Parts: sequence; structure tokens; C-alpha cells
Amino acid sequence: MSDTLAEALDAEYAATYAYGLIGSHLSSAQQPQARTDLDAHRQLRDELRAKLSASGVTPAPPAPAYQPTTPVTNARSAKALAVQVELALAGSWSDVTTQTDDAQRIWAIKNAQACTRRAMSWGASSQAFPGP
Amino acid sequence: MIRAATVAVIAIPAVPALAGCGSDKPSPPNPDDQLRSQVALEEQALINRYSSAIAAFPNVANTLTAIRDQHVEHLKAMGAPPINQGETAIEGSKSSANELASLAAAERKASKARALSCEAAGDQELRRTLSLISCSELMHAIELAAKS
Repeated sequence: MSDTLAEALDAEYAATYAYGLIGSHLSSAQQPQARTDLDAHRQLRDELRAKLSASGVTPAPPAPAYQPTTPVTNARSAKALAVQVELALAGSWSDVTTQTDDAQRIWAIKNAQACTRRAMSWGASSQAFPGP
Repeated sequence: MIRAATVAVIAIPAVPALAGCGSDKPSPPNPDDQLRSQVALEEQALINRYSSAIAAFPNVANTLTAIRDQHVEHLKAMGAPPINQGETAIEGSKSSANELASLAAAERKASKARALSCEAAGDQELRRTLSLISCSELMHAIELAAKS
């Protein structure tokens, strides 16, 4: 169980870092959405840390920095990064469904769907199996 | 008014073999196999709906074809081959916007059903696949609702 939770935690760390970068390239009109999404990922990060601790695993700290796969230089590339981050997380949360008990499985599916909604709100296109 | 005629109805084969060979009593059905078969039936029904909508509304065919192709991928992931069942009738008075809204509602329902199947599945890889399909169908619902 802890492996997929630890991987999801690292993905949430990366998302939290990415939204800082994303927000700095968006217009003031798009800032509230980025802040709301950042808050959602901070909450998921904290929930994951708490669940890992409760299962006897010390949560790993975040990396000092996370490098985007493509440069973020304007609003367009910032939104593309948001889509990439959210789709990657939909995959990470779907991975969590493989090794969890019933309550955690429901929690993981809901989080995968929430990431999917956020990806669409940033301009994602439909995919058969959402992922990076 | 009716736009198109029903072509054929073909039963989807059960995805895996459910009975053992050479035994008097058939093995009890595996719950995960039953889930796969159920999801395959629902995915095939969605594919049929899209085929009908594509035939009836060429103005939105590109969008609908792309989504139908993704349902074909879902069906294959359940171990079932897609079957061309032709197009069924769509009410002549229905607009493309109405049809997109109707398909969006069907996708939302399908997404919820896949999430429930994911919760019920025993096999780890099946759970993961169903979670991803649930997310994919949520994407379809959002995309179609935005275009309706």
C-alpha cells in the first residue's frame, strides 16, 4: 500500500511546486483558479503524509525542485503544464486504487476524478486512458 | 421521424471462459470476469450510440468519432472485441446539441458505474484500468457538455 501512496505523495509535491510556477505566468483573471487548484493539492499532500504516517511509514520530504519537461515561459505553456500535472496525477491516483482497502480505494478514485476535472478545466483533450 | 434503420443485434460473447472443461459442475463465475463482461456490454452499447449519432449528425462527427474510438479502447481493455452493430434510429426532431447533451449524461452515468466497478474489483490491474476508464468517461462528459 505504501509504495503507491509514496509515489502519489511525490506527484502531489511536484504538483504543488508546479502550481507556483504556473501561477506566476497566468493573468490575474486566471490566478484564482490556480490558487484553488494549488490549495487542493496541498490538502491531498497533507492527507497522503498523514496516511503514510498512520501506516508506520515516514513520508519522504519533497525534492528541492521539480523540473518541467518543457519550458514554462507564458500563459499557454503554464496551462499545458497544469494539464500535464493533473493527468499524471490521475494516473498516480488510479495506481493507488490497486493496493488499498475499500475506503482508501473510494478516496483514490475520487481524487483521480478530481484531477481529471482540473485537467479539463485547463484545456485537456479527452483520452482513453488519462496519463502524462 | 426516423433517420436510420437498425442493422443487426449481435450478442457479445462472455469475455473469459466461465466453465471448466471435463467437470460435471461448472465452476462458479469469477466476480472479476463478470465485471469485465458487464463493462464490455456497457462499452459496446455506448459505441453503438455513438455510431448512430455519427450517422445522424455529420456536423459533430469528428468529435463523436474520436470519443467512440476511445470507447473501443475501453472495450478492448476488457478483453472483448468491438462488434459493428450498425446504427440505430435517432428521433428526427432531435438536434445535434440535444444529442451531445444526451451523450454527456450517458458518459457521466458510465463514469460513475466504472468507479463503482473499480471499488468492487478484486484484481489490482482491473481496478487501475477501471479507474482510468472512469476518468476518461468523465472527460467525455465534460467535453460533450461544453459543446452541447
